[in-house]
Amino acid sequence: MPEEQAIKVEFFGPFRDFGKEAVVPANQPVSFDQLVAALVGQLGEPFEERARKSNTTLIVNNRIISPRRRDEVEINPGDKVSFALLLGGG
Amino acid sequence: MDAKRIIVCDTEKCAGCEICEYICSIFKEKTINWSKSRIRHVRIEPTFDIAIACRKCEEPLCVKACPRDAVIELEDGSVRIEKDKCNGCGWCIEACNFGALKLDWDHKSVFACDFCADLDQPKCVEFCPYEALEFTTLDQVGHEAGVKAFKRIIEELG
Amino acid sequence: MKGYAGKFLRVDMTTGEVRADVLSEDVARRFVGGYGFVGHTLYNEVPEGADALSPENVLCLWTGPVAGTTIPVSSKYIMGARSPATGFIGFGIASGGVGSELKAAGWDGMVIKGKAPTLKYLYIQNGNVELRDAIPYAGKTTWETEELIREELCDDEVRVSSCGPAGELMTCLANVTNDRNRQVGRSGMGAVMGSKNLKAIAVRGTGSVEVANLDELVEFSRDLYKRCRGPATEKYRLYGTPANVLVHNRLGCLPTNNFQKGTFDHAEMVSGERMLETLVKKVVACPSCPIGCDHINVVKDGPWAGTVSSVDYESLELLGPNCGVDDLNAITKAVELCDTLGIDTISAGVTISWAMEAYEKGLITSEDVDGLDLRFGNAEAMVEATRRMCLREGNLGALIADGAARAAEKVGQGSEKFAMVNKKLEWGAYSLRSLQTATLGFATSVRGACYLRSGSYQPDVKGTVDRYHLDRSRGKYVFDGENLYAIIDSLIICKFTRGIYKDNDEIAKILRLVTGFDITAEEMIKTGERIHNQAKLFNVKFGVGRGDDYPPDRAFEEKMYDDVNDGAIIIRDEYDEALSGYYEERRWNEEGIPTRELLEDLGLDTKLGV
Repeated sequence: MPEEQAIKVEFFGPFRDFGKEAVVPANQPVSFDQLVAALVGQLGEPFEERARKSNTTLIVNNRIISPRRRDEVEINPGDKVSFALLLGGG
Repeated sequence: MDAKRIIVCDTEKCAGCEICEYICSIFKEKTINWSKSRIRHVRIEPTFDIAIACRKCEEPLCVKACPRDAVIELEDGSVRIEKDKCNGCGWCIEACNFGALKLDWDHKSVFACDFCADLDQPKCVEFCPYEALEFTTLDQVGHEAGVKAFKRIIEELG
Repeated sequence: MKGYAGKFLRVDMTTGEVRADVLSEDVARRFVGGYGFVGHTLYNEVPEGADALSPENVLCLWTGPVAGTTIPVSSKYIMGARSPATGFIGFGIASGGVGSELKAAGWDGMVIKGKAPTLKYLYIQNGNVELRDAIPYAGKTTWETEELIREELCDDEVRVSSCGPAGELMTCLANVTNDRNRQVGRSGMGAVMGSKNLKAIAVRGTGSVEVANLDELVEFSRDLYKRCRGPATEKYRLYGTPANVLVHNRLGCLPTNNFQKGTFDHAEMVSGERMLETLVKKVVACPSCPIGCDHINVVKDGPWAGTVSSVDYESLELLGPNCGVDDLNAITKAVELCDTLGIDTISAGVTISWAMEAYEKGLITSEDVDGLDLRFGNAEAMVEATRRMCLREGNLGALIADGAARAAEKVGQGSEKFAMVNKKLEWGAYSLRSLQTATLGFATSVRGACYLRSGSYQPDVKGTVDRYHLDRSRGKYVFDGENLYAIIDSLIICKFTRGIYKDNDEIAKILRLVTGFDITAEEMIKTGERIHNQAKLFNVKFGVGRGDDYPPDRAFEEKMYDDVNDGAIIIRDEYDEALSGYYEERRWNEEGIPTRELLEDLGLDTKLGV
């Protein structure tokens, strides 16, 4: 399908239990909830709990969406979304 | 015969945090002093960690070794040291294969784990953050190892 | 006093005299411990103009009131002195068992002056303290030294902090290692040890640690242990900080090829995920730690088979992608060299990457680098360069052993432009142009080039601010971070536990339960402000000014282009505004000097105020 009609998803850290990447068809903007629902459809129920944990951080293109702001985010077709844990430390 | 319960440490989980030593001294000595802990963390570099306490041996060598009969074996297999009889000679410490006995520097008397007999459960087991410690029987340890191995085979066979 | 031992050691290396001194309650209340005590000691006791590697410099080691208690991750200590690398306040915090052992021995810390006539080590066994002959340990690695001292003392439970051969050589970047995997990493404390002919400090304590409210402390600790196994610490437990590699790469803030870029083509090969899969044998913990973040790598094959070291994000990143290197085995080896021979991994990585850029640009010759093909991406060359740097070996060792700034001074020809330093200390693994709040915190750091005093990368990586621009309000994040972290570094608790506390009042609770001091969260933060300003005053004493609070020129002069960034750069005017805003927040003048009014308000010496 044309690139613009899908959301590319990437997994880091423990999210790699579900694979390295996924593609979610989309022809309009989706919310975090909708994205998770679509991914649960592809990856199974366990993804739901992992995605909704309090330390799940999203990166949309190269913008960081902290756990607290997940519910406000709007993801557009053509965007790249990464799932990771909270950052920081060295 | 009641199966003997001892404190078993899963060396894959044990990270060497030594919190068991802090906690033991707090509950047994009412103060933070890990040199008086009954359970002992041992690290063999670079990555082997275990916490060991008394194993309730069938024929305790510590009991045999004591020239003053100060080390008594109880019915549950654990040992107690009678402070009035003990003079800190340390033969029992040499005899034990596991380093389960220690000398108390202040009271010049030996001590060993009593499995928190005066409390509800062994406190080290209760507090271990890695869930590496269990108060269990050797039979149960063997059984669980079998189950774990079999589970892995089932997973791999799909 | 509860929590504190109430006394510390004064050691005169020149005369060999060791005596006890009293820790006053006034100092304890005003400066808490750890970092607070370091600032207080150094400001008052290091003579003006004292050279960092001279007998006049003061080396101190302090614990905080929580050392030896059940508060999670409380077995820490700090070593401080005037830094030979920066000339300003130097210090580093290490975990492992030394901090709690010292408290059990009955000491809050030690203040060490002078220089011994021959190599010595300090042995503390409860109240018995002596300087012992360390000549048999000259040239030994830090791991060998620990093993041999335990053998000599017939005590495997002795905790040992030692400098490696690099410290004995007084390399500016020399670190101190204890318990094999823990370091007082930055600012050259190992060199200060070497300059005093102090090879190691060995501690054994069998006393009790007294706290004000033991029962409540244990219950609080029980709850904290549970929180330490939850989501707030998951990253540290599973992957350790190397989990940052792929995320920073995605964000375009993974320093690559001496900070020229923010993405690395081979990031997957050096990711935390890859490391966990292929190299991590086990994860171990420090005493008193319920998190367990120490990922121990064991190299299985290749030229460095058998190497064992604990690899964290910054070490990995700066010896890896920052040098263009995509080989985890090589990185593990370089970290092992740094930990055993005794230099800071961060300074090593950024100095070697400087040398690689200088070599590729033809500013240094093949002879200068002892014939090594010192190009970005050459793993073998990176490892060999690390070894030479630790031992000052060859032309290369002589050139780079004391860091990028000094090497660039020697070479000139514009190489100073790409020495990625602040206050002559090498920058950490956080890209300058794509994490600009981080940069403000790094550059204003009292120690130089580091976020550990402020956590200033947080607003950037949490998405709270625009990480590609700065403004006058940004200083508040650094200010707030510094005041809180000053307390964390004075108690001393581990920053990886910061996420488990609901609010500052829970942190103040630690102090109340351990010491019995009746302190509120607001008072605690004000105390943090005092501690930070005390450290700053040391720098003022040694001539710090506004010019020392800037990032390297690359940040302002070169736009960054990579897979994510399309011309990222720091605009000088924006930085200047942000810096002035930070000084204003701090109540310092435009030069970054504390005002007399502020110092009076905090109860600090006003002599250097403006």
